[in-house]
Amino acid sequence: MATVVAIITSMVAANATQTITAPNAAFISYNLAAGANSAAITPATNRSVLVMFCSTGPSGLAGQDTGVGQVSLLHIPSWFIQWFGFESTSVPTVTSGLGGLVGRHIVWIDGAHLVDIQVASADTILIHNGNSVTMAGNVTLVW
Amino acid sequence: MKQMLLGTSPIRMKQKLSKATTALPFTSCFALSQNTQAVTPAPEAMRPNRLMSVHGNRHRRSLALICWLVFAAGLLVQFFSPHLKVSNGAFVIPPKMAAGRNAIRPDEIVGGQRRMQLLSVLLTVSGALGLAFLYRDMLIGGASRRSSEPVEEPACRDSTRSQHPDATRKTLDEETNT
Repeated sequence: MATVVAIITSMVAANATQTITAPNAAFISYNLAAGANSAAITPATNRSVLVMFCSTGPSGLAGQDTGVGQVSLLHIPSWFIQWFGFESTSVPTVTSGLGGLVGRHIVWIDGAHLVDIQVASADTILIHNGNSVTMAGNVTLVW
Repeated sequence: MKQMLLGTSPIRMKQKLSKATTALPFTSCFALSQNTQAVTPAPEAMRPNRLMSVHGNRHRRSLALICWLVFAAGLLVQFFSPHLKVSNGAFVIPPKMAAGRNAIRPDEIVGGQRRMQLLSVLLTVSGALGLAFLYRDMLIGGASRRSSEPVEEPACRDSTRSQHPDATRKTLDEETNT
């Protein structure tokens, strides 16, 4: 009985240690149909949030549909989201802006400029697939 | 007299030890009271001791119950906490959640998960430590019994020899004569 209690306790402790010591980062993968939006994502407020992203493209994988980049966000609750970042294209570009208008473009995720991160509200962002095929990829938020 | 004392008390002691919640000091105290009862049969004089041991057992049982409840509460919190997978140093948000219609707040999800895990580990570890403290006599006794088992055998042989010193002396004499 003592052994069972000890084993269970150490399992709980190991699990908790892993959770507590893990950095503030969230990995969100997406697989969006043509024209679909992801769930709205609320970034952490009043601090810089690094959004790293990559597009792994459709299942067929065309070179233009892949992409990688990063953008730093500042979320002032109920007011706006400010951003500054880089997007991957054949000619790398800088993206920056500030706003809370729905649908405002933040950054392109893929090389073909069809999948992007948009402003969903003054407090949220979302991933929009403007391609005619299903697109997959992932976004990592670090705060 | 010694046989009478030892013959009566261990039965009661075994009965007490079989219950998980009773602890060694109290049982030994109880056994001691039984011994003294055998020597001096005065039931009125032994009543306070018995009452003390009964109260002690009750107190110990309630403590053990509290410890088990705390331990179980920790496990329940662990069971009902959102089990977010940690991969490459990042919390993986389930794809179902990311594809849903409700807005997701990664900082709140991660913070909630951390709070739940912290609460769970605090409850589980404190419960386990409390149980270990309550049953420390059994744990230490069991461990020492296990460690002393192989050592006891040669000691017994020695003791048998010492129990019959005449026999050993005889064999020694025979050896010297030959």
